Amino acid sequence: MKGIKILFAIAILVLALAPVGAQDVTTVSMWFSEGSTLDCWGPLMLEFNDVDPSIQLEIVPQADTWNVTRTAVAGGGGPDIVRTPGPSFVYEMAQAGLILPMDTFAESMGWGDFFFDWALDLGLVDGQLYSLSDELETLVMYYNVEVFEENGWTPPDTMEELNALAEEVEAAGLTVFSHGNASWRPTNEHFVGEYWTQVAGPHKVYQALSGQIPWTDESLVEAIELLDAHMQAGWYGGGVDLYFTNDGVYRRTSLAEGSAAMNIEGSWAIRGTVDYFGQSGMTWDWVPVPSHDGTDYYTIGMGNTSSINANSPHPEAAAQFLTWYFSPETQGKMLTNCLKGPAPVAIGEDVLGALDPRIARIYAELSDASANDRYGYTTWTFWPPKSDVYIYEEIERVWTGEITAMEYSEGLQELFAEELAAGDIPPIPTR
Amino acid sequence: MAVLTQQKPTTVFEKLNDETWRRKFLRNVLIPWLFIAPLLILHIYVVTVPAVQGIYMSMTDWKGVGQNANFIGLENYRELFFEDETFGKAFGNNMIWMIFFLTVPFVLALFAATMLSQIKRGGMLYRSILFIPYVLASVVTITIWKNLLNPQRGIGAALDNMLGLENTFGIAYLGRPESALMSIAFIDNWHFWGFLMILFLAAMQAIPPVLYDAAKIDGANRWDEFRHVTLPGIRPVVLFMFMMVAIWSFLAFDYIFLSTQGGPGGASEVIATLLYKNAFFRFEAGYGAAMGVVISIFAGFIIMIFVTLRRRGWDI
Amino acid sequence: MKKAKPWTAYIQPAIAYILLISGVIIVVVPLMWAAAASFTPNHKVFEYAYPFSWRALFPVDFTMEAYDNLFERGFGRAVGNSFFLAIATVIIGGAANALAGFAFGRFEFRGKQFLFLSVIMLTFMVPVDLTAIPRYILVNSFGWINTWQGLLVPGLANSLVIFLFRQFFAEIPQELIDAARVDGASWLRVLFSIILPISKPVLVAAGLLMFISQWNSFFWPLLIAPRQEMRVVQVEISLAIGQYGTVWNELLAGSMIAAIVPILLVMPFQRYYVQAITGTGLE
Repeated sequence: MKGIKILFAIAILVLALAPVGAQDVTTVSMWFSEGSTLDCWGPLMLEFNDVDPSIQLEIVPQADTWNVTRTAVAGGGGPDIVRTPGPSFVYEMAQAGLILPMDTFAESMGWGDFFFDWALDLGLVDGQLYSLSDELETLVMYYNVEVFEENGWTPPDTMEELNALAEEVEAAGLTVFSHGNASWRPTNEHFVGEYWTQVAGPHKVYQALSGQIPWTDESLVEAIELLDAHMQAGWYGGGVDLYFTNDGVYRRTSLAEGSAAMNIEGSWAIRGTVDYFGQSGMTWDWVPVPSHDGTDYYTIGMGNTSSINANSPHPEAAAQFLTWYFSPETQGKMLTNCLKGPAPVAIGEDVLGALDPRIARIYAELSDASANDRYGYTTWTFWPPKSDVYIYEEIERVWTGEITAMEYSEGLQELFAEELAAGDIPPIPTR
Repeated sequence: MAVLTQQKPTTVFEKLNDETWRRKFLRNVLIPWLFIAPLLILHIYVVTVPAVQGIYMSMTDWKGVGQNANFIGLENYRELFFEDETFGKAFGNNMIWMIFFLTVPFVLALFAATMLSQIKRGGMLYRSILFIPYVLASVVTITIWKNLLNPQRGIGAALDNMLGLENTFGIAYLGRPESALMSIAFIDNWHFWGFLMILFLAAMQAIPPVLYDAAKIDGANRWDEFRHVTLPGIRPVVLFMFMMVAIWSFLAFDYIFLSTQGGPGGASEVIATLLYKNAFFRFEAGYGAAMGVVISIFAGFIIMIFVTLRRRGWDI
Repeated sequence: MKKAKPWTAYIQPAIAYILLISGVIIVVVPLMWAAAASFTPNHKVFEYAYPFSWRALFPVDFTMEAYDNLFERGFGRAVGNSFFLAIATVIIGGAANALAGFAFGRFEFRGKQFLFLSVIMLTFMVPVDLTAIPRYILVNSFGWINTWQGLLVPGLANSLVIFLFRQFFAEIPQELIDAARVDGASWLRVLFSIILPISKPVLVAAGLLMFISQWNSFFWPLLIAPRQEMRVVQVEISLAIGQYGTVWNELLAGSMIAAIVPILLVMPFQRYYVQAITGTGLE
């Protein structure tokens, strides 16, 4: 009989906790991974609630955010604002009709006025706008200024110079790059993408991405071979096996404390870099990733994306939040206060001017490069999903000596050709 | 029809009037199903429907989002068994995993339980301590051990330091293809064996002390005692856990995914990690579902073995 | 008849004890690090773990900061939620599983074997995450998102528990039941007045199993009840892990608390666990 009583108790609890009747305030919900990020982002994002009291933003801290979001949205629930880890995920969700096309909002709310044109294009699926990119990303080569000064080194421009420098770094008993993938295995793809662009050149990559040449093209395979050679030489974290066990803490501390000289990382690492260098008291700076021919190429990447859930009862309100969130003012504020990588929007000169010049320079150079045909491609933004997984999973087999660079490229070509033929490919801006 | 009814007077109404038949019906049909009904309703709703859908998905090219799935028959299975090399490798790793877990934790647990069963004082404390790892969340266990096994800053490096060696113990256990899988098995075992030990220990305490006394009178030494008294006494638990561990070996996922994600270079890939990647990163949910079905077939196979053995009179 | 030589008499236990003690060390050292780190300010958690030294086993700059933060954020409520859910699972799920186990163990009916095997086997259909989508759709169609029944109901059916019940009930001597049936007792009567009193071991074991599995559940609660007031323990802990960094001391502090509850429950009742599995509970 106890069971029945408890059943009653549950029933009563359920009734008591059922949502209170809706008021005339519209709530826009958004799921967000917690950790330490929300401490700074959260309050800034909630400032939206002062703009229009009839639309309130609700941030729900959510562990394992993407997995939960995907399942919930596919199951007919989920938050109003759907955040995905990148454009290739948007593609699948849009095809499945789980998120809404936002073209009408883009027009009526003037998104084109502050978003870069090409950035909006990256959110297109079958000609309709489905997502907005939350963060514009590129990779650069960070280095420890004191270490370079003490040893009389200058940051390299070309792969050749990098070669020479790496020898000296190793002779000095330091690690060349403070790298490792123990915290985030897809880190692998950063280097694959970077070597393709820097060694073979972005035009070759573009040709391969648009299906004009195969991934087994000599120059592209050469890039993989070079990456493998550098990996085997122990540049990346001190050895292939160490690369697999070095974690995020190692990556930051060894560069900030000067036991490693450099590190090729994304603009998203600025926050951590500033933190750790602040603790160690040393100085950081950056140069473009060395290329084969000495040109400063910048790969373009997109971080998380935001879309509107097809199940959302009030897409209009969600779009209004997006308009506010992606406005250059909000993005500029988040960049200044939290070092959040800004969305691809036209951020005011005054905002950039007030920033640490090293940080401002990254974004200035990136926009310069994209305007002058010196931009390259990051794998998670421009490759279709299966190829992308292949890129970061299988490269490990090259590094552990199981397959050759050529075999790796052949495998990729086969998969990529399939996905290209099926049309499962993110939009590639023509160049 | 009419003729038949006349010959065999068993219409439903007549049956209901037949006392013995009614009893039989109650006993053999109605009551059992009434007992099972609550569970069955729950089960259908939570397990059966999703599982059957999973089986159907495994015969489609479903991507994991949305409704568009085309029926493709057994194509996924064909690809799985005849084309996908990584699946074969993952399956092999599952077998290694199973062999490891059917031996190492059992030996450890039997040994520790035997030792602890003889300790009179503080036994509870030892037990509690050895059991704690079992209730820690996998994320936490992995975090701890990733740090302790780190080549530059872990225990191995500290040991090297102490002994004046270099790179002897401080090696990248999780970063080398030849040792990655075993290192994760070590970590998972660290978490798991205490559970086995507790089970064995409790079983040992249920063995009547008279049996040990009798063995002593026969002049048995420790080993004889263990072999002829302890082991038979706890056999049902050991065998039951053999079955469970064999099944769990095919489900192994979180420890591997959280520590290496199957790397380096697929060295620690198992079916469940492969399934996960296919379903959620490669948008091949139908293909992933096929792997899920294969795993459950294996689980069923293992259960069948035990059910058969039990029918043949094994005390399981 | 063997006679132990004097040296083996000492060596054997010595080796055994050394092995046992080293086993305890391997278990205890990581635990001590985790416990110590939970009492250490977050930025100092790895101070002595990198490189590892004995000092890592004791808190650096002892602080309750992690625990304070956790409880400020609502950890106490999460513990309460998990406890309530686990108890409800034990009672409701226990009843359903026990009835089914009884039917599987004591009754003969058509399709029993098939039903039993399929019930058990389908449970091993992995992964939870994949079957989560159809399940979510179902629960969503009931309007059960962010409700207690949505959290509770999917955790009620437990194949391992059914298995245990079936085995235990199958071992009960037929005479015991026959005697009662002859006296005209109904099956429910038999269950409540004869079976239940002798079923303490299996009830406790099954209860513990269900309690722990509900206590440790993570993905389903995460999915089905994102509302802050409904978070369970494991979900609350996992919030310490973020996309851009992890609050280590809070993660470890939460895990310490989450681990204590099952240990307190399991230790006093451990022998029932085994009695249920071996079916020796009738002695």
